[in-house]
Amino acid sequence: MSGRSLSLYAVLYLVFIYAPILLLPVFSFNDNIFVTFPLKGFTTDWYAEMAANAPLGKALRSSLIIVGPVALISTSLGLMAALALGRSPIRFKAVIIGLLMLPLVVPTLVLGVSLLTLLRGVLGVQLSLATVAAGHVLLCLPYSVVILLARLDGFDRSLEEASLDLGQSAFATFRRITLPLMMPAIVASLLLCSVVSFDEFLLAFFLSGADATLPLYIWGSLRFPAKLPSTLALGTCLLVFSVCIVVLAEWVRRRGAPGSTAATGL
Amino acid sequence: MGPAQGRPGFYGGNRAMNGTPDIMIEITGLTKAFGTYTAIDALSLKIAKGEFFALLGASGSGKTTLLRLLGGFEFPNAGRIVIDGKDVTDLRPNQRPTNTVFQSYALFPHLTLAENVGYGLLNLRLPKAELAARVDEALSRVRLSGFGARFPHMVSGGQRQRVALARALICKPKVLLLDEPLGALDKRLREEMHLELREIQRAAGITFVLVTHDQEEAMSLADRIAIMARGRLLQIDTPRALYEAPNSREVAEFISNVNLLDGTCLGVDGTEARIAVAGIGEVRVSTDAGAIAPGAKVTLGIRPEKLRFVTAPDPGVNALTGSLRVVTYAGDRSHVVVEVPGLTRPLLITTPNRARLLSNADAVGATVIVTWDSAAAAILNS
Amino acid sequence: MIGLWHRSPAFRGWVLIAPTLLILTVMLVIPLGMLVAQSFWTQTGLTIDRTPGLQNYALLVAPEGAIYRTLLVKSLWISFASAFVVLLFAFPVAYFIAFHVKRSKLTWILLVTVPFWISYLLRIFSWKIVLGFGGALNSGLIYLGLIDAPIEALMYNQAAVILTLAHSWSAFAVLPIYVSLQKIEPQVLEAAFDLGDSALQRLRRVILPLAMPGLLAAFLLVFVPTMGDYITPSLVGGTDGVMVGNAIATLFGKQNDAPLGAALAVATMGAVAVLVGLILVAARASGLWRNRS
Repeated sequence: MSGRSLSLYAVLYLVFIYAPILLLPVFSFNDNIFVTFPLKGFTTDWYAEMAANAPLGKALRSSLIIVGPVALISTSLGLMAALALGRSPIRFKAVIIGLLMLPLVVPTLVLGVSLLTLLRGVLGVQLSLATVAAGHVLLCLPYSVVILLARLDGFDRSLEEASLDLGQSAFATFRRITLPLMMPAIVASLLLCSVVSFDEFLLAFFLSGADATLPLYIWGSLRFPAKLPSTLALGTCLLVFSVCIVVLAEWVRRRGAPGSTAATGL
Repeated sequence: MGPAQGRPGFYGGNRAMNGTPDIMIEITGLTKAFGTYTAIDALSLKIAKGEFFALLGASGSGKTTLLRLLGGFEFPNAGRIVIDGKDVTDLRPNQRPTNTVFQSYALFPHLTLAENVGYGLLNLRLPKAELAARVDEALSRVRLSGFGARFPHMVSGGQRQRVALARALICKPKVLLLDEPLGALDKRLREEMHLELREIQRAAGITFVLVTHDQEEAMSLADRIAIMARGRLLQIDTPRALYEAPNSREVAEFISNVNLLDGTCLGVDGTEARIAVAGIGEVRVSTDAGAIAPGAKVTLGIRPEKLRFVTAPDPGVNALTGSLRVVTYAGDRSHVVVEVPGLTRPLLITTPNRARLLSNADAVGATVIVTWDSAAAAILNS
Repeated sequence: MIGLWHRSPAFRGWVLIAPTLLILTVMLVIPLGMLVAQSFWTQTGLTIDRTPGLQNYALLVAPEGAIYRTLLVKSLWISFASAFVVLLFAFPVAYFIAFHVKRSKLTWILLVTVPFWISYLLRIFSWKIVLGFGGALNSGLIYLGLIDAPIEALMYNQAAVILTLAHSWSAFAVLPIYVSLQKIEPQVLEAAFDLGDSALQRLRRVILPLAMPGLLAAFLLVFVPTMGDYITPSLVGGTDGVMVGNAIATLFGKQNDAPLGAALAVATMGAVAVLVGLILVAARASGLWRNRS
């Protein structure tokens, strides 16, 4: 494996990954309702159509409404669970961790169906964005715990003891020492849970009521060829947005380096 | 209370105490178990004010657990801890008049050295200028003036160690607990730190409790040392007493190398006792090392430096003949292993290098005579 | 109570983890338990008969249940192939980033994972665009004059599903492999050369065994979720590429036979568990995976 051929391979790999996705922007500006070559002409009509689309706007708002609470709740629960698993001598840790990872291993389809049976059939709960959010919290918990636990592990336990030793209360220790040092992981968890929730389709499909989330809207519009180009426009917007977030995160990180990342022990 | 605490020189060492010294720490009947494992077993101990006290033992002896119990990071299953007259057994670390220097230093990585050192003063809500002044003063006491703005990862291990010390001392605790603080430093730094610690302790007059597994460190720093094993105290004494008058085989062997001779007492003539040692015959021991009953089984411990090489033994003096096996040159002295027929283990002798010899090669295999004074052996129980 | 909170770290731990455990119990353990219970019932029309029995499982192993069995096996094959393909293609990239990239490692990692940030549906859909009858690949090739008529075999079959899944899940493979390659001490690699290994031998004898935890994690991270996927088969699989997820969804939906659906779901999860166990055992036995603490 020479360095040259590997770099070539890596570049080809990236091309393979990005090529289908880059078709989205390409065809979203194409003046043709069908997605075929050759390209007809440049137009922004599809974007206009997308912006004017009321159900799309509503679905987007619904997705955004649940993202915040889901990320916050998952991360908070994940933090408490990580502190319990990483610091306390409780028994059956292996069982608890197994349970926590179960949502990743059980097919989402099965989860969706079972939860639907529980919520509708047994508990008689009305399906709504709240039920979707609850399902998303379940899905996000494993990611949150893994991220936070990994950070906690790399963290000298004596630091918290030192803070107590120097006169701070347990709560002040949490506020001054634990929280700042966990912050990168907390942010990572919030971001990841947001992405997972925003993009999640299958559980939303089963657990949503009258309000559709954005993935549900996309699923609906995929069946109608006429709506296709504006869906592509939406996809392109999402792609650009994701790239911007990633670039922003990278820029923030670089500005903070080298001292601060090392200071926080990253 | 351990068996050694009734001995004369209980509060001996460098500090001369008049009458009964003030007790800073009193531990009674302390027990700590983790599940089915007993780490500390009904331990009792007194430490005087201003004393530099060391807890010495191997891993698993319970010394770190005892220190953590003193600091409030663990709570005992039974027993009480009293510091300066106040029962602190149920108090949390931030409520006790103790401060700890952790083994890993535990400097807060997201705070500057100045913020680290000033951390213990946060609760006092001092005006900024005064806080800064106190921090500067603390840093200069450990010779780190001007380093305040740096972060822990920017300074060396030795410097971090001193910051940890400054951070603990600035709180003016009644007791400073040190958990193997010098383990990560190289030899020269460690020796420098030994001197500094002694200086600081003397100047501040604070009671220090040091945990270490390094005998040399304990001996050079402490006024008194408690030897621990399996959650219990084996002997508490001054370094000199532990070295020259250990109360058991285990303590003798732990402190340093020692030659052991097992035998039975044949009788006592005035100030000397005659011991029959298996394999070599009769040996004389001075009785001021302790009373021996005739017929009793006895173990004698002789330190390597107490054995001498002679060309011809004086009559009435303990002497053994053997063959020289290994010579290890250590600069100012040599460690010599001598095989003696009749003894199961060879003798270890440490002898100063009085002559400028460039080689010992021809010495190996030679027949040698080893002698020692009757007062040179310690009598060990079991 | 306050005393117990301060004195007992174990008590603190249980209190901290209680809410999470509650959620897991109510939303995971109970529903799955109900699913298993459901698999022992029968449903005719809209009425459910709750007398427990093994009839659903009996059906799955009987000749009448052959379609389900073949479906299950086909799904196992598709997921296995996807995971394998992903690993094969991801490993060199992870290797490249771990050992051949000096300064911009994080940038490369980000580049590899950015596609993960786009909607899953749209990722699959982009392949639909590419592979379809009137899609980008076909129309592009016609436009370039390389073919006369669109190639039908590009989509609505197993290969399309495998390709789409491999593309979608690739980021999940690169990351774990990269992490475990990163953990290998550089001195170990140098020692291998020092002791006479060629680059290929070092790969086989040193790097692969040490990277095995990451490889296994990557494989499982792709294999397990794709088993339950039913969106990808719906969009690009056609009839040839149907997976067991579609069958389960239909049983719960149109076919109104929830108990059988539950039984099939349980059987699927069981099959996955068995296969995962076999893979782990095989990895151990092949000597390629030795636990280093």
